[in-house]
Amino acid sequence: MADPQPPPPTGTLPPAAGTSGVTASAPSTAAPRRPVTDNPALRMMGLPRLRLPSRNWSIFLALTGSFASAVFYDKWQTRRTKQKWADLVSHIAAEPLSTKQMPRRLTIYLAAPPGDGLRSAREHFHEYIKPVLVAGGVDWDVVEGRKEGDVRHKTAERIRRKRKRAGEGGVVEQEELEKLFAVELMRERNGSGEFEGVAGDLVVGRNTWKEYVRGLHEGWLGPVDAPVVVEAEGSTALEPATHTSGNPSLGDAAVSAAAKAVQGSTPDSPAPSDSPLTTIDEIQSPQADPAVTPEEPLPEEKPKPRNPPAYITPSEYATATLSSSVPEIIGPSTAISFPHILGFRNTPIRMYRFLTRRRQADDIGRQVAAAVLASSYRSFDTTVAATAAGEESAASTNAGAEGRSVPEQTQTLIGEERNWWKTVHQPRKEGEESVWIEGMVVDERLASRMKMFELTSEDEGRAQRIAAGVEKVGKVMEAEVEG
Amino acid sequence: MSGMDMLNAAEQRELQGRMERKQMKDFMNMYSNLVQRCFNDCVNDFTSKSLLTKEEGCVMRCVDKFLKSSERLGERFQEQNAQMAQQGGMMGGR
Repeated sequence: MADPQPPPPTGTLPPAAGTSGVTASAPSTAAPRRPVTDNPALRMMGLPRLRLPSRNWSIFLALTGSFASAVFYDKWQTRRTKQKWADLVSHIAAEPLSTKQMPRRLTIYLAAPPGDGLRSAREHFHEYIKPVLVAGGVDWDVVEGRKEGDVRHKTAERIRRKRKRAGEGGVVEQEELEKLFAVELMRERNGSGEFEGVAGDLVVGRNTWKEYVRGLHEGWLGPVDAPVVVEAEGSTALEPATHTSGNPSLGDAAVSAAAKAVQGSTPDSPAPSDSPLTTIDEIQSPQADPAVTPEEPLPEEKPKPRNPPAYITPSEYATATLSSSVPEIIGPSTAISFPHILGFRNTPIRMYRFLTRRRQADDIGRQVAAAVLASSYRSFDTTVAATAAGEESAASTNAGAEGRSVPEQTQTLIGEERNWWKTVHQPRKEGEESVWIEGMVVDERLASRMKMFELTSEDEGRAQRIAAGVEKVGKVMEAEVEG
Repeated sequence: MSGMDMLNAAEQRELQGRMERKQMKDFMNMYSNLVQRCFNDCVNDFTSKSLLTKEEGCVMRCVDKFLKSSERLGERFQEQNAQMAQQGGMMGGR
């Protein structure tokens, strides 16, 4: 310790006083003490000693620091990427629109992924797809599906409605017509037409894509009016499209169930199938959609199916007549990937995906921008079937081995099937559909009409320039053009 | 309007007159809304008595957009109204 009392002014000063600012290299008076700080600069500023973190602290800070910076970097890059794609399409939103004209309207198909709810799909849409749509000033319509088969049914209903509007189907009186198409008729009267130009379909997820394709086929190849069910009260007019007798084409399960069922099912109403789907092989026609005819005397045992049964089964596609009002291009569509994985043991994969969301944002932004710009669309062509990993199913119209060339529609987003929760492969209960696990059956007439949005190389280049900051995007202050 | 045939001629004229006055009132309401909104949003600078060029342009655009949007909204409302009427009629009919 330095001597506690200040020495008298005339007294002898100790050789080194322990006051601040003096290197206390004290002689025998002070016990050997660690200097306050060795660095003269810090000493002058009065900062206490700084020290490097210990080994444990270093490990901790390194881990948290790297994780935090990975997250931050990824978030920053996703924000920039979304901004890039939004800027690419922003010029469309600035175009004036007359009051008599409706904006362009895309249709979004959104279904709950297997094992999860609709909310996750909605959030995916809100995060990656909606910003580009909003920036491009396009309107959208969402077809939502909570359970399997919803999207199929709704898609087919929309198409049948369009066909009815075009005049197909049984004769409807004027009043009924008014009721059904009130909005459209009013719009026509006012003179405000729909957008003249191509609309589009955005389908989110492989399961939705399968249902969408099935619904398309059902809508365009099936009857316009509901098939007549024996002993049902509200039987609508018989369908105009021809149907061969479908009994032999129904699956084996249906045949066995038909033996049980009391009523003779008409060719169009699929009989209830009780036997579960055991395999996924598509040698035979896929299972008929399970349905319950309303006159079953045991309502509490057989739950009512959520949606009415399909008006046409895939096995009948070849013999069905195509609607006369089918357009040349079946709304150019894009299948948007929806990576979704569940499970505790998949946590590392999910963490990796969380840290690389910028790539997802880029891919999805590109597809949606292509849909919004609508500058070019190409047909689906045939690709080589992916090898089904250790399964007997082949994702192709012709059941068979790998390497077979199949329509491209069957292969879009096929990687997502690996991530599906395993309950998808369970046998289905009564009243549930099994579109997701059945192979995709694509009719040639419709497949040739389906088109896919594509981003042209100029737009791709423009997007890259926007990202690099070379190209300016923004409001152009011009003289107003009266529109 | 199922009650129209229950009114005699004088009452029908009265009804017509009232509806016309109502429409006039609505129109004047819309006009005053328009004026208020466009003035509030466009004219901010009171250092001079006359309208500046940019304020003039702003006001013109404001009126334009207001009328166009009101037309559009009216059309959409009409459609929805028709749809609701149809549905209501259907539900009430059965």
